Amino acid sequence: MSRDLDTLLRSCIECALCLPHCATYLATGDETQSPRGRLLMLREALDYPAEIEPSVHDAFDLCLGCRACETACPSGVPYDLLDAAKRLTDAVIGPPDSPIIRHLSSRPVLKALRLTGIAARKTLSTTMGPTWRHRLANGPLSDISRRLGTLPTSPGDAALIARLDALTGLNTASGALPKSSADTERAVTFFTGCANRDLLPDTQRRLLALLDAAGVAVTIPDHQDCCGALAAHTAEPNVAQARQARNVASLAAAVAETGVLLTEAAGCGLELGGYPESIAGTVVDATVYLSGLPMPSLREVPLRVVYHDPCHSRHGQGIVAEPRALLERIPGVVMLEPEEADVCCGSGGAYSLVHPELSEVMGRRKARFLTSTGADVIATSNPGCLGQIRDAVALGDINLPVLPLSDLLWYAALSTRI
Amino acid sequence: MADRATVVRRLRAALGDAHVRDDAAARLVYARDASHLSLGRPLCVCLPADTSQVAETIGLCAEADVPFVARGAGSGLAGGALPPEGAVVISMARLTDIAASPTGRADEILAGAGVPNAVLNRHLARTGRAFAPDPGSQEVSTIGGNIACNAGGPHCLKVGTTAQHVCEVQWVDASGAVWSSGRVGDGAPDITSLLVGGEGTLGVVTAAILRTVPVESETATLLAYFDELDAAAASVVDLLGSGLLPAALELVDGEMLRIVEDAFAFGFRTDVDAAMIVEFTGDAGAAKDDAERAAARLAVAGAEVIHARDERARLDLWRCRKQAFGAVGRLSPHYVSMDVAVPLGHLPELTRRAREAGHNHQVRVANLMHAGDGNMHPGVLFDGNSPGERDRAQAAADEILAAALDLGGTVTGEHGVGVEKLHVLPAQLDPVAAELMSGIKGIFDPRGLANPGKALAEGPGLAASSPLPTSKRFDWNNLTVTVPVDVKLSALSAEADARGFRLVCVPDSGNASLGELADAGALRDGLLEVWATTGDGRAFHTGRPVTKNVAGYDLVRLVCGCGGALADVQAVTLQLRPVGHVVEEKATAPGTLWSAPEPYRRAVIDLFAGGRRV
Repeated sequence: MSRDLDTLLRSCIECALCLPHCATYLATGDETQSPRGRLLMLREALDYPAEIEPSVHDAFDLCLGCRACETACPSGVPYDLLDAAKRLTDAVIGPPDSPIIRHLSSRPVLKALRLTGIAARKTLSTTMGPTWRHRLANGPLSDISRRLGTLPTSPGDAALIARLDALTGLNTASGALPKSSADTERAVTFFTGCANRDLLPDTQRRLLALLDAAGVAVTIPDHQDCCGALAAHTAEPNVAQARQARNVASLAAAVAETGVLLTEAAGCGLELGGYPESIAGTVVDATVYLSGLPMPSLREVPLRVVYHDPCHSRHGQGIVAEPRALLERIPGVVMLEPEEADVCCGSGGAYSLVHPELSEVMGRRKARFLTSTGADVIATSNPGCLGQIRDAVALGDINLPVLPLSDLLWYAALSTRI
Repeated sequence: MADRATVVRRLRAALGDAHVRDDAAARLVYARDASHLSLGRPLCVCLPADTSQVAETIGLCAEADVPFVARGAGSGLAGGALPPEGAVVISMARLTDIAASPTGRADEILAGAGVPNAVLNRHLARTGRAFAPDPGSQEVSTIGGNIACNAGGPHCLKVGTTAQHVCEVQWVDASGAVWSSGRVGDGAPDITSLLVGGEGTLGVVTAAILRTVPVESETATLLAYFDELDAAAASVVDLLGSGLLPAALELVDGEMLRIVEDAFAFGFRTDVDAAMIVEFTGDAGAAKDDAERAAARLAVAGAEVIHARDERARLDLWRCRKQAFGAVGRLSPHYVSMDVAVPLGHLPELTRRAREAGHNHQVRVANLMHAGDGNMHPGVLFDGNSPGERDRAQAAADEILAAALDLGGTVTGEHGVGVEKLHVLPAQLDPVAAELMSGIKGIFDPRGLANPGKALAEGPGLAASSPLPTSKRFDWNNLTVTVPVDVKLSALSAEADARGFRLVCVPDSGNASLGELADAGALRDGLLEVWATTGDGRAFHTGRPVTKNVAGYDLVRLVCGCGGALADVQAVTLQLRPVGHVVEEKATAPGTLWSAPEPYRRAVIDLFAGGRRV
């Protein structure tokens, strides 16, 4: 392995062009928290594995795995190097212990978290007002509140409509989309994912309604599991493999039938891309799929929208143009571009839960760039990013909705009361 | 002298534990920059938050007699930010504030040393303005680094390098005191011109008041393919000699073109020997007209000319240009990145000699050029793990450096001397100029703590003294004139005007002699070379007839503009510009609240007078 790594490492010419794309470097100004710095340490660690120190281990542990460096690198250095480095240093120092992550993608835990999170937010926001997070931030519960704060949630139909109607001045008739009358030839298999299914059930339901209205026949096989990305992030390959096996068993027949496995979470899309070819070859991100689809008629929605690219779509799957094109199909929508569009928001799968402090610095930076575009709405398409950015925007005391892209699209497909 | 542990402890007390790192990771990472060189491991790395913390850090270093090295993003190619063993690295990465200029002027901006060039430019773009220097590394390289190396970039052809866009800097001297550099044009010895291009060896710049320029409303960009690199280089001389002044004029040789195309598949032709990018900016159709004229001339020279059809195609061209060097890593794990510049008329010759050097030493040379400036970045590619290749690459590089000097050029146009070019620097400096530079270093950093072992070679200058010009001589291939200073500007202007050119002089005062104008600072932006005599009678020559030159301290600007307080200027080389080119008058403004560098000015005057410094 080390010989291969050595060959790969030689493609890094230390030009530093990766630095301004790395969220940990931007948050800290510390070059040990930059891709170039990490590769220098990997080189040293390969030569002297016994001498790996905790400071070196920390540098790899704090890497988000966002792969922005891979996109930025003019020399084509592959991200696999950093992944390998993480494994190498974990092997010497030991992996970070994070029981929170280990259990995170289990269904009961997620459900419990959702209910707790909603209850906590509801109680606190009514009893303490909009600054509850600030007060909590200095108290003994600060760590817990930080971690909980970034969990994504989705509003029900009525609340979503009310929020967007207030922004657009539209008077939406109802949350019912017209049923498709088209004799459909389009069919997809739908991957539910763990976070989307359990934390954002309303958003998932609205996406399915949108697909239905667009005349797409959707199959949702039973017994789907988490895609395994979270376990892979936390160096638990056995858990990830078991999840993959369960999913392959659940999905194989339907995928063979439909030829498309649709996922609405960027993180799942990337992970599923690493499944056996029979599955991996069929994975299509929802934004890509929808952008190639004739939409049901969309009404005029006068909104300035800034889209945040999940790293797992932008860097992991090269998806940049499609979500923007999709939003631009809504009449009246004006797309804006933020500074540092390619930089990670700090959610990083489970990163915001494991490294809440650094993650918060990144989130605030991201929120500043997104909100300073002057947008009315921030859209994204990954549950982790959604929770992170919503939390960071709230921390800045800014009242700006952060919504899944598909929710905006669903809203545009509704009709206005005449 | 305090021991190392004590120094680190005191630094921690001053900056906070999290911002002083002496762990293995930090000492390893900060021992490197983009130069592929290293000198040793630093004692520790400091990440101060502001100027006062930088001052405190340097004060503690001075107290303990520990050398220190300022660092931006470590993207330098000449090793200028590498710490010697045991030095303290002072990172500017947290000094990232951008604010309105304290002078209140809307055409100036205040930027922290750690602000990346591109971030500043995106900030300015909202108001339709720009900080003109745009080095290829601008996404990462910082304002502090740009100042340290007097950075240029593709777009300084029309508007000049960093030295022409810095009004005043805030800097910390080698003892930890905070100063202003003094406002450029205030009639005192120009300390700003020493700090710009000083590579952090005279002190540490923490913030700068920068001049901004309006972004012109129209841009027209051409891509021209040539079957012969020689013909392309000759076309550069022809275009500029015809009175066209592009915003940028770049050449990429066939070797580099193929590397970039392999890496990014932009769709460039790879069956050619050279590609030229020519960009014009202007208002009211001027850019398009100029581009048409250029296209016609290039077509006559046998080029295939393509107009960038839209903004996206234009940006692709620049992305290609700016990512080119990074792409080299796909082919070759190591390279010597060079930065020679020659008088424009010699560009074709230098291009030939660079190729020959590659052949002579059996290494690949891929070349990128800011051709309009006569500035060339040949990359000598090698694999350091393959026996003998590093030596062959170095031999080829040395041959290219020698060629540049032989052709009257400089060993470094914009990357800086760093440690990489120390060995060839003496060959470019005359003995008196080198002695004056050492004297300046002694004034600013008497104990040798500020970035030691960089920018200035030990030992005497070895260049033969350049004879004092006794009559005017126009070089129409280089667009310069070399002239004794008793000549009146009006006498030169008539001759230049007949060819469609003018001298860079602000304000344009026809009746004055060049000597008077030089003393008044009016020639600052067009001055390339000076022949002068110090107060105690030492004659020297400094500068090169090239528009970009960061070899040694900038004595050219230092000795002009202070009413002859330092030296008696006898002859100069000045840059010519097309007649239509508007030369902006520099704004005068009151100085800031930062302390004026009076002790340093007095000491420099004393140095030139031959006295001992005060």
